[in-house]
Amino acid sequence: MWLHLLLLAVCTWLLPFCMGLLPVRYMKEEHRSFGMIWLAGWMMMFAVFQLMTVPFIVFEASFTVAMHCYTIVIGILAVIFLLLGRESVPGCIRKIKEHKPEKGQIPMMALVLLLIALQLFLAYHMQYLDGDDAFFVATSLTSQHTDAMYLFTPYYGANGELDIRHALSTEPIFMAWLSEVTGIHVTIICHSYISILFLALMYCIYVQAGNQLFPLQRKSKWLFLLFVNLWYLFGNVSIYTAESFAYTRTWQGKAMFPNLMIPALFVWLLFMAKDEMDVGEWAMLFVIVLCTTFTTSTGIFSVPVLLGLAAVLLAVQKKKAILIPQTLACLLPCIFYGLLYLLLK
Amino acid sequence: MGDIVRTTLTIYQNYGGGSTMTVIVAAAILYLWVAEDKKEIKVLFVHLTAGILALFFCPLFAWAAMKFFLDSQVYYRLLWLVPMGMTVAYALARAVSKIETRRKRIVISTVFALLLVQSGSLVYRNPMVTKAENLYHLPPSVISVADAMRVEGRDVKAVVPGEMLQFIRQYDASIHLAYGREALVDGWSNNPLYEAMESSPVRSFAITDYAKQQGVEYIVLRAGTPIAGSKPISKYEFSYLTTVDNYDIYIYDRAKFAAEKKAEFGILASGDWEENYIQTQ
Repeated sequence: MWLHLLLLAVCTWLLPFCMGLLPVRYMKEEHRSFGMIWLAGWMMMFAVFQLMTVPFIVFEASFTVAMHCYTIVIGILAVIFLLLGRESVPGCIRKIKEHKPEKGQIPMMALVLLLIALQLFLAYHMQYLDGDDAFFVATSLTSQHTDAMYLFTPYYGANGELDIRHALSTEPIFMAWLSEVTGIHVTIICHSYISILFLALMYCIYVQAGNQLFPLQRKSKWLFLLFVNLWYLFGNVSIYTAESFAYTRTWQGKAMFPNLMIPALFVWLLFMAKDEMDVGEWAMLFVIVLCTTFTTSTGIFSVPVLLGLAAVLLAVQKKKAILIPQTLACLLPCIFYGLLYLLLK
Repeated sequence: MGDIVRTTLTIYQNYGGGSTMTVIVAAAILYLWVAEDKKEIKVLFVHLTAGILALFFCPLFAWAAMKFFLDSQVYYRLLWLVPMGMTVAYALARAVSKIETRRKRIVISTVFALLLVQSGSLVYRNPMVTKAENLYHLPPSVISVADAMRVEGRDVKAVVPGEMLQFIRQYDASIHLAYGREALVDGWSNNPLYEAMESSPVRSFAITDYAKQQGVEYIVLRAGTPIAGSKPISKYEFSYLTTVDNYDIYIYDRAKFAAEKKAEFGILASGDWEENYIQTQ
């Protein structure tokens, strides 16, 4: 059992950490932090997975071959990124030392961390029997069992044609990869581990947002995070809200989209609005857009709406027309997968 | 055009679920529009969010989006583009940060926190959120039934009661089903075996006949399900195998693994299980 847990730790902590080092190295000094490394690392892992796996799916290659290729590539990339990006670490350590919490902000900080810890604890101990798991989790398990991707209907196991409506969003296959590498049943991974991990990742993104919104007022940042916590905890007003999805389907791509991808895009829009886009930030914006297609096909249509509108508004406000083609370039993954979908439909 | 306006309004109302959530978001945007002095924040949290909401309600945009990209069932996802939590939390934290005295800041923060608590609904109070009974977060009976049916090295085909349909293949993909979750959703499927399985009493000839036609090797019934017909299930080549966690499992006598399974469960002869059987013509 310990070996399985060790492998899980390597895949979900060490690998994202290594993968995040290089992009963060090329980001502005003020954006660098361990949280940003972890966030960027996850996005890199999703993006590489999406880029690599879609061709295997479209050409109906076996799951095993696709997963072996990804494991090798991500392993090599992690080593390269670690070597090239290790310079990011001292800066992050220095930042922690310099930003020790002030006495006055400790109670609020403790309250926020306690609330988050409580949510992570309950994510493990409580369950929500969601019907859509019959598709998403069963797709992961079916891929492992049949050694094929999106060719068997997960609902009852019959062989069919390539399910192109879902095939371009590879998130369930990513969970199957995680299960394959660690040797842990994919349903346990999704329901008892990813449910915790991605909630933590979500709050990590909100911490980055708080850093941007309140760069100098740290007390306000923790108050912002407290309100975010309450908003989420009490956001189960209908089955449609992003907040309901965050707790009841954390491991599904369509929950990752509004709770990980959209907040991350807003963090990057804040960078853009504050003229804090360096090479690393632009590269990561491209990567996050790619990740939105990884999570759900909804992203292929809706992300261009969000970023397109944001780019136009920012270009007008800043009198900086260049923002429009720059953002358009970052939207290429949506355009590419949108066209691919139309071609294969 | 009127239909599309009504549809978007209904979607918006359903999204908020009758709560004041959308009102709070609107108030936060309005507050930032009036009070925010940082242009870069204003453009994102006021102009951009208002722009997305305007697009959401724009009949032409909604029509095009529903026709070509998102159907009306998932059009609500466009509202996910509005970072509601981030906008509200920022507006509230900003409002508090502008208060001068510490005591007032604490009081107002508490009022805001209570407002969020009062206007929302705690996710853990949702009746669908229950205590997990295993690491799979699946009903234990599903795991027991799947374990009983599993045959090493091969796939099997089963028909199970409606409450198991969504879960059994999350536990074991080697168990194929005659129909899946789509049977539970109106209009997704009309498998006659589902109708036969969910009727009460279950007709022994109907379920076994449809099951044979569809290559089913196991029939799983809720224990105590009344079974009616001129003969019991066992006379139609489905032998009672075992009962686990209040579910009766029957095995098709001609299944390749039937002898092996019967031996595993100590079934020596078939045809004697007639519990809950009601003889009819």
